[in-house]
Amino acid sequence: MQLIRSLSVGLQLTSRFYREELLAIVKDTGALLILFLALIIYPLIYGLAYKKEVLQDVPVALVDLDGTATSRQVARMVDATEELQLSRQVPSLKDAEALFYSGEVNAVLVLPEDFERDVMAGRHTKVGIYSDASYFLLYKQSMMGALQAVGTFSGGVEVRRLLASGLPMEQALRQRDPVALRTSLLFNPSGGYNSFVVPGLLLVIIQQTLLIGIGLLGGTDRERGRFRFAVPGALHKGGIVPVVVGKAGAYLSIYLFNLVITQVWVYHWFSLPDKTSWLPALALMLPFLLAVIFLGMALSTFFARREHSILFVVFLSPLVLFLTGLSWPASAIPSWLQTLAHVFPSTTMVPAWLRVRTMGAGMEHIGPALSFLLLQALLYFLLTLLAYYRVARRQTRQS
Amino acid sequence: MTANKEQGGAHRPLLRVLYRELDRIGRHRVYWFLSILGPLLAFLLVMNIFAAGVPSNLPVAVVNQDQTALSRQLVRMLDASRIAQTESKWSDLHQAREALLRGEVAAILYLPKGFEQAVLKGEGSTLDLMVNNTNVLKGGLLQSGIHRVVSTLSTGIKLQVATKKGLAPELAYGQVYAVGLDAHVLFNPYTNYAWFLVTALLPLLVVVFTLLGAIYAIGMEIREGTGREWLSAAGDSMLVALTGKLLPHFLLMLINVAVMHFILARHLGFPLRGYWGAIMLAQVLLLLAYQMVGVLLVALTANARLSLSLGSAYAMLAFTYSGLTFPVMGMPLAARVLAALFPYYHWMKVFIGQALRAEPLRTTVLPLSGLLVFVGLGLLCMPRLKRVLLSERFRHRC
Repeated sequence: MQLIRSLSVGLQLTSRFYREELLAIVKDTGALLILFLALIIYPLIYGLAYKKEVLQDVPVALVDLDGTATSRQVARMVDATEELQLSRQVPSLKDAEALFYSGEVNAVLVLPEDFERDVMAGRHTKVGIYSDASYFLLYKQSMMGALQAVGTFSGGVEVRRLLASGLPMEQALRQRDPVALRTSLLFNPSGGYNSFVVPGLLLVIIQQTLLIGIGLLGGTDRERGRFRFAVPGALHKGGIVPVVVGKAGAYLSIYLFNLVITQVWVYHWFSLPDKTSWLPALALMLPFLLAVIFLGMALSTFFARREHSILFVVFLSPLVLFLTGLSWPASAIPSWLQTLAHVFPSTTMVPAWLRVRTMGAGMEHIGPALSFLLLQALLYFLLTLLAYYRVARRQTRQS
Repeated sequence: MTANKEQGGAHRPLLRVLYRELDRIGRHRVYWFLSILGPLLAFLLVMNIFAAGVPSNLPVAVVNQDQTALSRQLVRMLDASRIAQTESKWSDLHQAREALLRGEVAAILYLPKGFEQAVLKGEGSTLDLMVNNTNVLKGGLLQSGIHRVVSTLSTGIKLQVATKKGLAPELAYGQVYAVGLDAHVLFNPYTNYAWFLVTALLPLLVVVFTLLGAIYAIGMEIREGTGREWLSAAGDSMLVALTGKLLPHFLLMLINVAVMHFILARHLGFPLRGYWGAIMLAQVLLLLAYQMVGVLLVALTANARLSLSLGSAYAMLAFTYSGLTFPVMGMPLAARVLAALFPYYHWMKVFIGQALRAEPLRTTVLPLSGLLVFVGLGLLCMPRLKRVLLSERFRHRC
């Protein structure tokens, strides 16, 4: 009987703290901006920047010193690649350099003198490509485009030579490349930049906005010197639990709503790869959100001022992003730093989430990540209880 | 004599505000974090994250159904390459695929039964490579790395066949490898991705701390209702008040900037092909521009916390528009216009242009004036900031 009564009181208190927290968030422009608006604005601006997914038709200047049918064929093949476009033809390398510095072209293709003659004579020859490596993707695209076009041309020449030596076509094709490689790029075949960066970025945005937002709200409580949960009885056995659960529930509700924006709408808008089955997705997302929420709540008790949560958390955002291994392979990060990075749930979540959403992994593929996140959520829940208890005791002592 | 005295009096407010600010900085540890400890800590973390330079030894599952001398030679060659590290514990494709989905391997190479026999008979054989391209960077490195290894093997076999036929080695080479690519990589000898990321990240962190520091320093005056006192210390001149307040933060930031340039030049080997003066001018203007964006945000919102929220988003978004990851020229028109709204974008143009590309000086005029526009915008907001500081009602908005 006693147990039922204290349970019902606990539930009543929990729902009261839940409603109070929601109200506090709605009344607070700073918190609203971080907890709602940021989750719409950030993905949109990032998505807009990478909307075209791949860099196509990088403008290239052609310097054709040979001027024969063969050299023109190579030029046409380069022009036909997805990566490159021959936008100008100039007589000398010097003219090409001027175009390059003025920013009109980003690469220069040079076909050497006697190109045709060398090809006909069976001598090895080379096509020159000058690429701009001051911007990474420009460099990568011009190299890939040139490599592909020249490789194809070279293959054709080699096959013709074998044919000339008297081999039948089929055998010539086989001998041209005794060990051929057939490559399939899985899950993001076109190498799209949005599909690569945005899915993981969304999770980091979810985590960082939660940490900052909860800090903003928690800091407010402390500043005003009246921790709302410091009600009489808060220090009795288990008295702190309804406060923590109620508040966490409020954040969780908001972010379940935000999930619709970030995980459904944004995916739809930018046609991000999606092979998700709902069970592993949900199984990962809930402990992730809870772990982040409790980490945020525990941290918030350390911020003396609401502004401090921004000051201390914002600068970590790009670092946290790279620590997830999203774009920089985690295996290349020193192991002590990798271990430390697991303080942030995103470090565990992002790789597992990408496997589920982009690659279509099932429950059987995410076991270790899932148990880690569950454990983390539980650990941070206990940590939050401890932190809140500490603050409540200090404040009751003061008053 | 009187003129001299007046002049001396005009200087005193600036010193007064300066001392007042130094006192504030000394009393609150948070300023220490914002202007020195935070940036240096962040630099340290960035340098450690990217310490490896190039990713290496990414796990590749080899499903070897051939198990002959040739297939084992290929596996050894893969292991010897920088990028791949083979694992052969999976006997069929299904198992290897499961490992891929568990995230244990990044690619699968399938060597079919009868591989060696087909190659020796001159029939040729085709290997299947499946690369997880979820991470485009890793996928690209693996694809090109493995491709290079396989084509080395293939070319070697062709050469052997051709020399057996009695061709001289030189002619044989021309026979099996007709046209190569002579790649000239301009401006940047290190074509590793980490180099680009670090180059974009370090200035971004400087920008984040500069902007948040300026907003916090000014915003706290509104929040604590000390704006009137601050202004009167400055002899009621907003310009003097701002100069005195922001100068110490600016100078501390210069220390971080010096450390950053030291890392870029010494540790990353960033060249300096153009004009040092242009880079430094852009650097100073970048700091000023972001401080002035801080003035603008606080003046317009009259709310420290809201300014900090907006400022942090604004500072962070600049990263995307540096062009170092995805070039701005490849973005949609709307995004290209948006890029110009970030001082960071203009700074990066000067920095890359002068340090790497040795562009003529006149190319810096446009981006430098772009930075000046932001400074000007901040100055235009000074009267509004003054009104905010003098009015009581904004205090309660915080």
